[in-house]
Amino acid sequence: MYNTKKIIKNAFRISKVRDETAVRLRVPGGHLEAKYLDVIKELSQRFGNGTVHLTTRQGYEIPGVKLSDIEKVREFMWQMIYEIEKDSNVILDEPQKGYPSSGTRNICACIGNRVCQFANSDTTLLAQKIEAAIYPNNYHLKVAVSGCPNDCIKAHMHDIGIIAGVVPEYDKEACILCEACLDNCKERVTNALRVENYQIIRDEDYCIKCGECILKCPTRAAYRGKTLYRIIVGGRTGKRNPRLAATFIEDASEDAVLALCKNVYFFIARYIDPKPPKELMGYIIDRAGFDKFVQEVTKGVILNPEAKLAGKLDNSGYSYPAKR
Amino acid sequence: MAEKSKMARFSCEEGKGIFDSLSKHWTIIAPLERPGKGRFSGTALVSYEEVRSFDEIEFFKKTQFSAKSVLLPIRQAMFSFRDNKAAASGAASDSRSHKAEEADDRTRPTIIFLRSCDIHAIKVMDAHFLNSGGYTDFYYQRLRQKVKLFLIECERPFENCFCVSFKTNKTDDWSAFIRKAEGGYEIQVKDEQLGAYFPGNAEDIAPPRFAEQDSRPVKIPQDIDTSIFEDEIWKEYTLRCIACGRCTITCPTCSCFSVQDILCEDKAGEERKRIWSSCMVKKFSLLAGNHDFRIKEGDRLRYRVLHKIYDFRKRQGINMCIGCGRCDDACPEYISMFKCIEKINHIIEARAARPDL
Repeated sequence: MYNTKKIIKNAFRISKVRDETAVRLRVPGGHLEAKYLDVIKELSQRFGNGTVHLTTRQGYEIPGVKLSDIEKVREFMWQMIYEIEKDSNVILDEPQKGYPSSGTRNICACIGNRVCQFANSDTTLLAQKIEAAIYPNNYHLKVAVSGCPNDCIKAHMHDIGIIAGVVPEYDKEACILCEACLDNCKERVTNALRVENYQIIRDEDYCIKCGECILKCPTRAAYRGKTLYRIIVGGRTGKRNPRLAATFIEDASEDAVLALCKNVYFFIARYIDPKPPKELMGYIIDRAGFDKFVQEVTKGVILNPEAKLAGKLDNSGYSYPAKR
Repeated sequence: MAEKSKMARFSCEEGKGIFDSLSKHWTIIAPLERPGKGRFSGTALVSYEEVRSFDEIEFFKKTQFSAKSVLLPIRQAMFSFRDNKAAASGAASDSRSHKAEEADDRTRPTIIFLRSCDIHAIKVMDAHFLNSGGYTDFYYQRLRQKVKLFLIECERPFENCFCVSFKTNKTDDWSAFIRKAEGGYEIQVKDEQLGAYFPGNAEDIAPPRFAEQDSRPVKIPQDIDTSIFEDEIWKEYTLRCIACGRCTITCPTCSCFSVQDILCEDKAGEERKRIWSSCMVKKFSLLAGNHDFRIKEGDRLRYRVLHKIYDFRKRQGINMCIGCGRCDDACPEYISMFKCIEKINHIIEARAARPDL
């Protein structure tokens, strides 16, 4: 009566309640015009059970919808889906049919520099650009963008995490040696700064480019340089081997981030074990090897000169049975 | 004065040529907006910088930092004592061949574009550095005599401004007054030396317009005695203030500095520099033996505020605060100079009403 495979691919959920589904809405970058809340509200009250679930991936999920109403729901919401995706420069060919795929999940982002003082970039905008680069796609992939190494969006638990940083430039002629940067770096960050002959020295090996020294500097002796990104890969939750993502590339440019995200799909396509359940990216890297991952993902990508590639992945995590 | 002054009206296009000839002899410092250079990502910095054209100047936004660094550089070399022989040969420095040399000043004559309040701020700096206890500061004077002031209009106070309350809203103390007008500029030049650069093709340039009303006027307290030190408000400020120093750094009249001997880059000597300091940050009041006499943030803030609105005036006859409100704009904890003055007024009024307290 219902083709569950098609329904799932169409981003509807198969509910535990027989003959019911839940409608899902992608919100790339997790930021949305408030006008859509009216549509979501009406959708829930007309077709669902009057409630809305805020998903872990910054989308909306409207439960209690009859499977028999899917056609009507698509008709009701296609324009909203179309417009929200269009904001990310994704033009859906047949929006009336709903989402063309659900494998590549909504791209999450922290609130970013539209609001947050710590953020080093517009994370929503970058998430939308990544959406445009990789969606629609059937391969299961979770991507998140964080505005600073605080990683509030938990990019470390994603297949691909993007963490924005800023190169702190320093003009010693504007430095009054108040040591606000140094004290803060010691207390809150990595203790990468020291004073030598009346100037601040930054240890590049320790600096994680969070930009806090710029925030603390009263004179703008520390000021914003280039925005660069740390790309971390292979993080995941899950039953078998939950683990944090590890650094793949430090100090990548935005162009490099987008190109590398695209290329991840060539790696998956080439090395995935296709029999269901399909493998997740981190497991493919484990099986195929990091070298193969690097080979596929960097193919044809001209990395910016600052970018530094990791020699190996060092994902922490644990498996069952727990080590005794 | 009026009959000597020259008036001109010129287009943006004509302005290019005027600017070029002017900038051959003068360094021109004016408000400039630079996108992406603000403290937070994606924000602009409006500050005093050397500009390359009239059109580049930001006439209408308040600068986050003042122009004081032109007259009092953040780090200013006073003199060096170096071993030139060692520097040339790369040999180790020998203290016997050290020679002290006055730091030379290669600064070109400079024009600064300022609002009325900021011109008053320079008057405060002048009082402080040129005539403090009969002493003239050599380094300040050396730069100051090269500087001429161009007035820019400021008709409506910005959000945190209170210049009218401090009577710094108007000034006649300028070499030229420049207005950005439709498609170009209007200028009135009082300084004969500068007049030569402008055509003198107008006679009806409206005089500069000044702010006449603060959005939040504040009364300047006249008599303050030390009993106010004991008030509870400073304890509250201790809980709020984080001693970051942004209020003093952005202030156009804060001019404290410390003096340091810094090793030259070639290590063949040392340079004595004065470096801005701030009564709000750590170590400012730290003495030998680790004695610090203003540890609490509220005490530091009290010292700063009373200096700005009372102590300086007692010595120099003018208020140090000029009501620009940059400290209010800059404070990450939303501590307001304006509010603090109001609170001081309330304390004084309450005490006057109850002399028994």
